[in-house]
Amino acid sequence: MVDELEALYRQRLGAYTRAAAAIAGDEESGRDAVQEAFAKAVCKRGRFRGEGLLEAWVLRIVVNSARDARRSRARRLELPPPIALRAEELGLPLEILTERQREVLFLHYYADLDYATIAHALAISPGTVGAILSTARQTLRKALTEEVAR
Amino acid sequence: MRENLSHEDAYLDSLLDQLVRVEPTLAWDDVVDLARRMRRTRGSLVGAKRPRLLALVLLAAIVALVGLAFTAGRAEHSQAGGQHHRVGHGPTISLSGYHMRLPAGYQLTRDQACPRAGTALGQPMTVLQSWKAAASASGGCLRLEFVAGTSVVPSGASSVQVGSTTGYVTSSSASPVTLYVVVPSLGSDHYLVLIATGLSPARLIAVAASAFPS
Repeated sequence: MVDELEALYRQRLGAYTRAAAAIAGDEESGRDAVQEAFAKAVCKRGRFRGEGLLEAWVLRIVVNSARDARRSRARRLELPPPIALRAEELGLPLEILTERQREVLFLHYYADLDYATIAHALAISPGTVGAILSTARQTLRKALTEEVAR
Repeated sequence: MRENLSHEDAYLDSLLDQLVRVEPTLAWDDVVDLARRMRRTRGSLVGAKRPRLLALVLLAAIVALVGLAFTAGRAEHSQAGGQHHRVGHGPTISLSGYHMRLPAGYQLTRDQACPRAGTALGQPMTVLQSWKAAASASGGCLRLEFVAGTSVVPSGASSVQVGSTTGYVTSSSASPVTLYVVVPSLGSDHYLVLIATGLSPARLIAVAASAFPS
């Protein structure tokens, strides 16, 4: 089991780190969240019952760690997260999306995951993932088009 | 219309691509090391099926150790006048009785390459105690100083909560990031100054907050 976790880590570290950084709000927290999540997975590996994909089980821990990092940051720091500032500089209005829409978008785009894996990580159905993703992209496209038209 | 949508999708993807720029640098050994420390810290024996008697003996030993650690911690605290709250996973950097837990991968160092508060900011201040520093293998560096002065904090710094005290952090885009932590028992002219490269403001605040639990 530890070998499988190590293989997953080596194979997916870059993708998970990007997704975790986007959710957490800054790169350093994203790195820490992934490291902490895999360490937790090693500690709790006895709880993985093999009912689903190992990747989906680990991803859920990664997402929770990234969320914790974001909340912890928000409690301690009044400054907006660096990634939110960068989005503003780029003209990408992420703030118009809900937290759930952002998470689905980030997991799909940065971690390049299928709907089923994202669904398991966020404890929702694959159909809901598809609907959320479609709405999120449509909302952003519309906002970007309106911005260009102005 | 479809062509337009495709173009907009590509534009959206290019923005998302520019949004997060992170190079994963962590080694698997660090993960295993952190897992070991988590197990030790939490006394977790998840997955280990041991006889009940052994579990009871271990529980008694853990309770005794925690009691000893608590007593020792209180004694150290009353001597040093500082407080200790472990939030990082690395070693502890201590100055003037304040103990800060560093992130994993950091080691204490006497390397003078870390930026100094005085030279980095050019502010008039009195350095009250010899500095301490820590560095990580990936190039991160943190220097801790204890200074006093009426205009130590630069005007552009933002006020932040650092555990139970107040601090002032320089802009997130600045490098190095500098955090001025007001030493509660000494008033607003005395600061613990943390100057770091390779750490985000949030991580730096977490390090400092470990010495000032809420």
